[in-house]
Amino acid sequence: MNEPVPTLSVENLAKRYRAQHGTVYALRDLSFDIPAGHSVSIVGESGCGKTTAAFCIAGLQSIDAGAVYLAGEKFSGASRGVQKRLRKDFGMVFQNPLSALNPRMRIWQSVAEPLRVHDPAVTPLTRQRQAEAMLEQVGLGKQHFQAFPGEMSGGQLQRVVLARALILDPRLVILDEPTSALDVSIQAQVLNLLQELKSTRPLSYLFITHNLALVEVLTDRVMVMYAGRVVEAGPAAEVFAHPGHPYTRELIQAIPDANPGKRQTFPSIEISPVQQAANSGCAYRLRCPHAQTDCAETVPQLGPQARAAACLHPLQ
Amino acid sequence: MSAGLSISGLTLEFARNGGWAAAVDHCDLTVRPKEIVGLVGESGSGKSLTALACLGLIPSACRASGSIRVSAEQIVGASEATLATLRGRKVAMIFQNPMTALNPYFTVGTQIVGVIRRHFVLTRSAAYREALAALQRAGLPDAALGRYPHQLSGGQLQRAMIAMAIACKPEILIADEPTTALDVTVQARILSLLRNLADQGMGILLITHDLGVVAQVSDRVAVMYSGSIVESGDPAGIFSSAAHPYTQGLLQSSPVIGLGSRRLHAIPGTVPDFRQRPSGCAFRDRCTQAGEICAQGSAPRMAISQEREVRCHFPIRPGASAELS
Repeated sequence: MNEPVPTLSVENLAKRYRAQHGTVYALRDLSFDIPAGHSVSIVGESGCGKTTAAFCIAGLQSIDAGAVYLAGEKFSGASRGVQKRLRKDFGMVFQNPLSALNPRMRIWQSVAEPLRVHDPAVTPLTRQRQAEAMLEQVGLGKQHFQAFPGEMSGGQLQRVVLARALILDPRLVILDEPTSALDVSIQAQVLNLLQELKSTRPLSYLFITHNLALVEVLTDRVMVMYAGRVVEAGPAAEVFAHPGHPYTRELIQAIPDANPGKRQTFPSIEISPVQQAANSGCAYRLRCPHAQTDCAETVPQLGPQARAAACLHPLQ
Repeated sequence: MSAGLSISGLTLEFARNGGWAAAVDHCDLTVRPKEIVGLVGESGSGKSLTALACLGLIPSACRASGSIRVSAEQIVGASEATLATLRGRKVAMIFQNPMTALNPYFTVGTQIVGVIRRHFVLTRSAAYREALAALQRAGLPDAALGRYPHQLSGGQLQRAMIAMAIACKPEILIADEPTTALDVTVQARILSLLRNLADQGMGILLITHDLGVVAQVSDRVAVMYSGSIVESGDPAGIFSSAAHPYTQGLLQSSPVIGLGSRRLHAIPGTVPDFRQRPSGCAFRDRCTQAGEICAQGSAPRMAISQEREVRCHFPIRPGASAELS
């Protein structure tokens, strides 16, 4: 039987940095697929490797091992020409829209830039028309087309970046904390727009976020990362309702509930930062309330099932 | 004279076109000892400027009127010399980014000792003992005393800054987005520390945009929009039946885990710049309830109950929103 080709396929991706005090394993053995039309989130705290994952997949950072396939074609390590052709198939949205846009280009010019790079035959006027049409699709009006980035608000700028990411009609958009610099009322506007865009075209998202509450708004699957490894993966609703990994549960329980009638008890003892995670056995064991002796010896592996936790003693 | 912080009629203005534009407009707020008051709002609402004014730290281009009292001391219009005796001693502040608020050239211990010896005549070793006690109250190990800021993690730095702020046992702590730059797991610990400090007698003004944080730690809440407090009261009342359309919008646009892929409620438009605020109610352009009257004059302040107040022509009746939930 013919299996449909996944939009994105990541195989055993690894990335390490040499630091002052030895090697930092930013990414270890990351493997996952995004089937066509589906979307996946990566969640975790700062330093867990989620942004490194996004950058390595997008080819913005070199990788030490593994491979990235876009619609079945190998992207990592491919020739410049092949990479350029494949790049048309995915867009990228970064956390800080102001630093992602050229301050000296007008808004429409920034949005038209991918067309100029990938389709030089198109006339400048056509490019401008297409860019303006795209800006309208993300909810920006004529008064913004000629503006410079410095004249616009954060929410508007993130719409511009999104328009630029979508102008070549990609299959995949990598969203790296797209709303964490925005106020909640504006964040809701941008998330709703992302939802709409996905429902009107065959588009997949790889959504990187530290905010667990945003995962289900855009994606159906979630991967939880800790110290460079995926420690739990599965359908978001199931993972959040019944976390299998103690780390996932810790993350969920730390979210302050907007219900004053239900006061949570927050732990008071300082936790060790992710940079000081254990280098042998399970990386989480120094923080884990359920750690046992075997956790120091064996590195727990993430099973191949759709719903899996990399833990020797998973929660029931 | 009541203890704690009491702000009344505070107006902070900047020059504009020969006139003055108010970034904070007739703000009233009190923080009593042992109490955490959450001040909620989005960027541009004036909450950070209000916080800075409590320490007399407003920019020189800003004109302040009204009153800010910390126990018996008046902050508005006080001389630099007077303010210097109050800052750190009567009222202290912690900031969003501890890395930029601490001096990278000095150890945490030196910086805390500096604050203590600024206010008390103590020998260096006695001051170090005080600094150590402050670190312990903030939940840091003794070794942190000799560390430089870059040697500590984000959560430890925030604790070091809290230790510095509480070293002289101020009555009031102003915390401006103290957990915004931190991971949720670290945030939980800092919130637990703030609760402890309040239990021990400190009054805390907690400025945040995170409604979950407010719901979990504050005893009273004030919601700020474009320079005005639009709603205030007890968290249980506000979260179960918000009276101001803006408060309701904020609550509905905050994503909640476990609700699936539903659309979020978004408030259309953006917070207006205080220099270009619409006439009347500043929220009316974004408001679903707005009528003609909202364009004329500022909205009236209405008491909903003894503890709750709203500033709106068309507040949402408690019954109406109770039916929704």
